Amino acid sequence: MSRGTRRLAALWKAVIVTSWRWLWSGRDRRWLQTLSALIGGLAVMGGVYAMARFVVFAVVGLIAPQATAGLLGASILGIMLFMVITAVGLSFSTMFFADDLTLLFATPLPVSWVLGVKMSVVVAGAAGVFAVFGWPVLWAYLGAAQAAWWVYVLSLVYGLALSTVAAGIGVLFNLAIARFIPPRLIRQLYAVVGVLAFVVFYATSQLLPDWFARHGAGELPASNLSVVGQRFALFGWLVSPMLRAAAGSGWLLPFLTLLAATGLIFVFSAGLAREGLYKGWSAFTEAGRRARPRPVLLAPGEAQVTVTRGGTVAAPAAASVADRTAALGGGWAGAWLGPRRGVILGKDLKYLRRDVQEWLQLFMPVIVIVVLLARFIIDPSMRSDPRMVQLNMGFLAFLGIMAGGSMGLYAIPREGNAVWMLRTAPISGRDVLLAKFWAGYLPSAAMMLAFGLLIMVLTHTPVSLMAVTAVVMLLVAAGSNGIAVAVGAMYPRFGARALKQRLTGAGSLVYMVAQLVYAGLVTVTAGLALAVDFLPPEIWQGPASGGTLMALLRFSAAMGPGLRHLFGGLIVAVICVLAVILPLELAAARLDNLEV
Amino acid sequence: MIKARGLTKRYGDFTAVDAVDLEVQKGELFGFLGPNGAGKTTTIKMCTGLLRPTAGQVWIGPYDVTAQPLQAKQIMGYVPDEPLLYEKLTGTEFLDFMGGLWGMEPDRRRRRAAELLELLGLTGAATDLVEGYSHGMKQKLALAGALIHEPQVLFLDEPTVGLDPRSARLIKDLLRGLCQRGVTVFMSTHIMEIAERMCDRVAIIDHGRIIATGTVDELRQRGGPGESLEDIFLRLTGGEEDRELIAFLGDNAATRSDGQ
Repeated sequence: MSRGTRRLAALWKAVIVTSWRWLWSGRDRRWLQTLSALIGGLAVMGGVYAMARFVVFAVVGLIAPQATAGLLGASILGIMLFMVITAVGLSFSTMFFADDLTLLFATPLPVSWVLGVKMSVVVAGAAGVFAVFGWPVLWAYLGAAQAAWWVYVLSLVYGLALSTVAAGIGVLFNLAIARFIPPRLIRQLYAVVGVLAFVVFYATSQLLPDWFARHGAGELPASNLSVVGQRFALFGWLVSPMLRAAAGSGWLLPFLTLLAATGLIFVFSAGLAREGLYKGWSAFTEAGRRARPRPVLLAPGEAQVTVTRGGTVAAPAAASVADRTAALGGGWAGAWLGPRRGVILGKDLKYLRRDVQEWLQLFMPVIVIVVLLARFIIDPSMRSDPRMVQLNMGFLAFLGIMAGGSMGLYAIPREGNAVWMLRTAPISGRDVLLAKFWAGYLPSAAMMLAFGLLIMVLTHTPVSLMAVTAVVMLLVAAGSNGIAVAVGAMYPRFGARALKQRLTGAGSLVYMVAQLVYAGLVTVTAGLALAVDFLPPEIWQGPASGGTLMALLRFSAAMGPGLRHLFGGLIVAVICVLAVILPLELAAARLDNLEV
Repeated sequence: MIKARGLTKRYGDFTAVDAVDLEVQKGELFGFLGPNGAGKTTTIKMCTGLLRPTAGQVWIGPYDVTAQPLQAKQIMGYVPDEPLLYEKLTGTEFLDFMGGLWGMEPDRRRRRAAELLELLGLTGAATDLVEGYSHGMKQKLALAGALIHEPQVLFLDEPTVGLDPRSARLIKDLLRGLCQRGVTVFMSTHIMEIAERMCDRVAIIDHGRIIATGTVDELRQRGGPGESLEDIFLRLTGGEEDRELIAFLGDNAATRSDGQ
């Protein structure tokens, strides 16, 4: 073996070993817990997913094939999004986690070697993520329409390719950061990479439906799930009519318009945030400080006397500084949650405003919602067909889960190395989690409520339905947030520098499984309560109506509409509330015993 | 005020702290000395509830840290060896946050924050984000955060690292003043001069075990005539061997140099 080969092998081994240790780090052999959680979670997820899929297909599909396809498409889209986001995160962290680039570049190793080794780890990781979470997609496709299985397998390959492309972009980007980019441009470049990944997803998914149609998928019977493949490209489906309306036919111009628009939004907002919140804030406070005469509070030595021997500074003098002290928990937050929880909520809300990493998490859902809104305004059929309205409200709820989840998931990990303050303070884990829950829930719920109400107003939804939908959205988002906060508290990695790296690999897996189970439970329960309103009675009363599902439908129908809706709504509410309470209780015990 | 009995921390087969017994009286300034990796920070973290002991107990005042953590934490303050604070809060917001965690009313914690900022020379930077603070300013702000609720017991892990001489002097005077007021201070340090001049009693820990405890004079009496605390520390913790090794290497280098 040549010297160069030995060096390359050593480098590859070092990166793999550190990656592996980083992924499964923990003094308590966390990988064992992860493995067991993964196996158990996959089993539960498989069961719930199968049940949800069966209910959705059997019940809703009989009356609204389009809606069925859309629902399945939305759920598959969700899984795909999880995978892509995870792959991108993996690529970023592979480059950054060990802070080893400086060290590696200081050695006489060629840059191409470092790049190649890092890439190999990233690609393997992306493939691993896909292997774990891609199977429900394959299962759904194969179960939906065996005749076109090869089309769906191709979709799977498309997803893998997409994840790998995103990961590759991430690696190149991080390499560029490490080698060539001034630190002041890093955030903007992150935004650009986010846009690129986003646009690749949009653009390719926009092209796929036509391709599917040309190769046979469109010829499948419309009564089954022939449009699943097309709905898989839900983003493209949402965006293309709007852009075509604006720019004529063809895909190139819409694609370029989309590229430019999203790019501008991301880059400008990131730049604006940096200028406004960093430089602007500092300049503002600095100017204010210079303009103010420095207060003379105490005579020399007086402060030491007051601090060390008790007593306080004279009230008027202290007030000149105290008046400039923003009371984090002194306002409504303190009055509502008490001073201890109030200051945590106040601190987190300030962080949300000041830290780009924090509020950028809301950007992806916001952009998709804006596109959805635009589609509602441009396309009259979106407002007239009640099934489409309901479908899109469902999609909105899914985005709510995404937004709430991403806000809540990092609620505890975002403490980072500063977590010692919470652990040495006389505040219980339960109180911390409660404050964190509200800190994540308030912004995401407010956002979802605002957009949801706007869509409902645009579609002339009756006020009563509007109120029910709003309550359901708030409840579903609460459960999602509770699960997210709890998982974040149980699997933190406080030492990581970037926010997105402050969750262990185990935590990411458990989080995805838990959210899928939760969404499945809510969907199944709501489906059973509402399906009989749309279905003809002979479906569950006929001679061929055997099985548990039909029995449940008969039970549901026998209750009468009022009681059925109330009962179904109550079960959904109980599921949502339990999704807040149970995970947070588990996490509180874990947080109380957390070692830092 | 601080009592530890059989305090032990193990990580797998490695014992970081081995059956440590300590007792610190009210108003005492206790110095905790030891070489790197001896177990100082681990011991302090167990005393403050950041780590759970594998065995043994710690009492802060009447409270068992493991069984009554909230009561124990209510009367203690802690300054870590590295001031990792919330970077996106201003100095005053940070102190307000810390006061709030200890349940202080807004008006009282703001008044107290103003005093501490003034005392530690941070009033001018009070409304700046912490991310713009120097290491020393962060260290002082962390100390202010630990003092805002007027703790009865204060744990400090290397409090003077990274401070300029003036700030270090200020902190030393402040700690002395706090002890005179009845606050119990438990401080780890590498700086023998600080331990020698400030501490009422010291303990030396090495390889997780307490190898000496007492006043500086008591330790001196155990050593040879004219020995400083540094000499005693090095003799007890094996540092003298290092000095001999350095001298040996130096001699060899000098010999090689002469040979050339």
